[in-house]
Amino acid sequence: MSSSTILLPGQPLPSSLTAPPLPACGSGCYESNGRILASIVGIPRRDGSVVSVIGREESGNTPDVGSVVSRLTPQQAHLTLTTSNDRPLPETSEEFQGVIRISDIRLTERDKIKMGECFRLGDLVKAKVLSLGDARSYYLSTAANELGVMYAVSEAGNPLLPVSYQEMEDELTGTREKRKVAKPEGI
Amino acid sequence: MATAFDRRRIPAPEISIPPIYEPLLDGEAEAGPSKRVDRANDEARPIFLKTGLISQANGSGYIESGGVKIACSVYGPRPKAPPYTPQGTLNLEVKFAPFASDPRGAPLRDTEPIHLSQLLTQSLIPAIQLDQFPKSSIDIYLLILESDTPSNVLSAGLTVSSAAIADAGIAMNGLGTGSVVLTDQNGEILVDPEESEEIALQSQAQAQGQGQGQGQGNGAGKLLVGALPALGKVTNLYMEGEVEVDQAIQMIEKAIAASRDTHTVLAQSLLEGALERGIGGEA
Amino acid sequence: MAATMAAQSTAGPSAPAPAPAPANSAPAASAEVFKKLHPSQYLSRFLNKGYRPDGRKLKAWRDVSINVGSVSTAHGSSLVRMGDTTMVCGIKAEIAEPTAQAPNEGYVVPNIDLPALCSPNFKPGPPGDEAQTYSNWLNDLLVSSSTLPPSSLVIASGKAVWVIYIDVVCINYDGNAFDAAVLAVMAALKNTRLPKAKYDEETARTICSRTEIYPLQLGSIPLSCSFGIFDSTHLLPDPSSYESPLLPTTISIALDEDNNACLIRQEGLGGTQGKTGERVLGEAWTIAEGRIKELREILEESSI
Repeated sequence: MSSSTILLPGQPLPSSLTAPPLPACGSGCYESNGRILASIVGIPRRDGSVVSVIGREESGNTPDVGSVVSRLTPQQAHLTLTTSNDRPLPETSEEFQGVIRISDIRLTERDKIKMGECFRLGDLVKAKVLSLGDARSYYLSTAANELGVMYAVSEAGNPLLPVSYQEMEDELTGTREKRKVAKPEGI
Repeated sequence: MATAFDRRRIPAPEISIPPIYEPLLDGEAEAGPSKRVDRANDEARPIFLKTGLISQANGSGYIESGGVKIACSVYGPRPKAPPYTPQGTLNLEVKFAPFASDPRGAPLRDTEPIHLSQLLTQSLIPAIQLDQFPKSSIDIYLLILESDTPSNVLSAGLTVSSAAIADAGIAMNGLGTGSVVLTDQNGEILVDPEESEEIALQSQAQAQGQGQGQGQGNGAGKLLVGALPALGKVTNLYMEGEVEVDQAIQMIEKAIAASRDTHTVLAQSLLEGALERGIGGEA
Repeated sequence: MAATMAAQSTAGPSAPAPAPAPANSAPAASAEVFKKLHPSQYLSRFLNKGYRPDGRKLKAWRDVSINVGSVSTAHGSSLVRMGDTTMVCGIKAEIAEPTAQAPNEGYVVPNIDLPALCSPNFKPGPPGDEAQTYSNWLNDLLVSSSTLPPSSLVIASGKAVWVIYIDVVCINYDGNAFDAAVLAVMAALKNTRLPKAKYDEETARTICSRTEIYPLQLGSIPLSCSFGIFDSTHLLPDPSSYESPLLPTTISIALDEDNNACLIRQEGLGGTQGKTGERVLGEAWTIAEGRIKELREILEESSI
């Protein structure tokens, strides 16, 4: 692809993509005085009634995040965010923090949930961002089949493999531990 | 001169002075301040600009413009400490390498960078879509490796910051560029003045301050314009000196014309950088 | 778990080797994510295949380039690239009165700065721990090897001496800052020219010539080589910023022209499996001798 199709911030999207009815702005662009302009360096694209500019990194509105459990209380799990939409977050001296409240762990049987049976410290958790949350943390949710613990280590220190939606098994000793397990892809 | 002893650096003698040179002989040319060569009065200074050289940063730029060399890196969006802010916060820091100026700039004693940081921040805020980055911060660091005049540092600094922000993929309304224009004592408008031209302006201002020639001539002054040339917008005006209103408007127009030239160079280097980043290569 | 991994890494040092397959327990994670979440396993899989994550061979050093004299506001300067690590060194000379205790000695003031610009892990503000450590090492190195003898910096005994400010600033921090900084300092010192200075007894002022300049009188030129030890198994030369936090042991060896040691530092437990700390240090020394010879050639070429 030649460089002529790459747009720069402030440059209008080509008229072929913005033909009436005026499309809505997706990511990487904005509307100004009835024109749609790029806001990042990237390639313009139209999907139905939405135009967007695709740059170095795609970002959705409610990203999936990978996160590591850093602190647990009976009411909520505190996590450190590490990845967003399967891409590592930029390296920084301080990391983004997230919180999963006990009511956002599962879809069902919410009143019976015990924090200790869902997450342990150091677990790698896949979650969805619910909202910007409070001053410190984003609010996250694992209330979906494909969300939850993706990688964990047993009390004996060996990797755990998922065996059901709420249990994982030690590869070597066969001991089972409870978790809110993310459904592995492709199953 | 009771400066606190700095334990974090290797100690230096309390007082040291830059070399003093013997007086010039008659007819000897001084190899001092740079002069305007090979460009017209209303022509922008040629620049060299490259993005993406600092691999550790999310986005970066390096600019050479006359006697100025600046490296700039952008980190972000980064998590911001409470309190919650609905908009992103822009942190910008200008730092001079100790060898970047004449005389040497000792660490801690210099206040010039603070002023430059403020002016650059004001010029850049309208260019960045900070509402896209709630409770995050965008950190921009400029390191001056070589400098001649503060106004050249400012205009090059603004251009290289824009390049680095765009390289980082951070949403912007448009690309900001900086340019400086000066009206000399003859009423001539000079775009991107050289050091010699700024010194001439300063000495004239001093002469006026002493009551000589006041009220005569056209007045003289210096103007920094931060602009978003693609949108036809101005983001910052900063003027020193004294000129007629008509003259000031002319200065703005010349500055914007010059910033379009800079914008062309900026756009070219961003397109090259985008190809190196693999934008457009995939999909 | 490592046994179930099918890592394939066949690319030569010129092209970055493909990342090993991600952990089977996290199939959705791309190589980049795996790299971030399990750095130690990521590194270990590369090393077991004989490569480093940036594509070089296990014991390879990164490419080095030196440019000198590009900073016009300095009396001497250099830009050194070691892989992606980039250092700029500028030397400024000023004039001061010597101390009463040492009337025939000038001052040498070396400092290394690792500003927030060069890495996401550094904060703005005064020099951090790492920068302070390196500044002290650099100072020790220059003093112990008399690279720039203070006695060579006298303009008039007891009245005026040169102060040589050596400032190294990192622009891009991809590990092994100390080796790059030392190389930058040596290149800049060789590039430095001072004006001929004369002290005037009557006015008590020092006046410098506009036409006559001379180079510094340099003693020995030490150069440094640094290593890290991973998992008590691999001795890795020239660690990158990704590898550095995973290397509990680091070794730095600086040698002069005759391969005499000017500085040896080891932090952390020495030795690897089956080898004593002494033997590993000796191994590092031998590697360093070869590498420093190469660096000297690059340094010589840069100053022509």
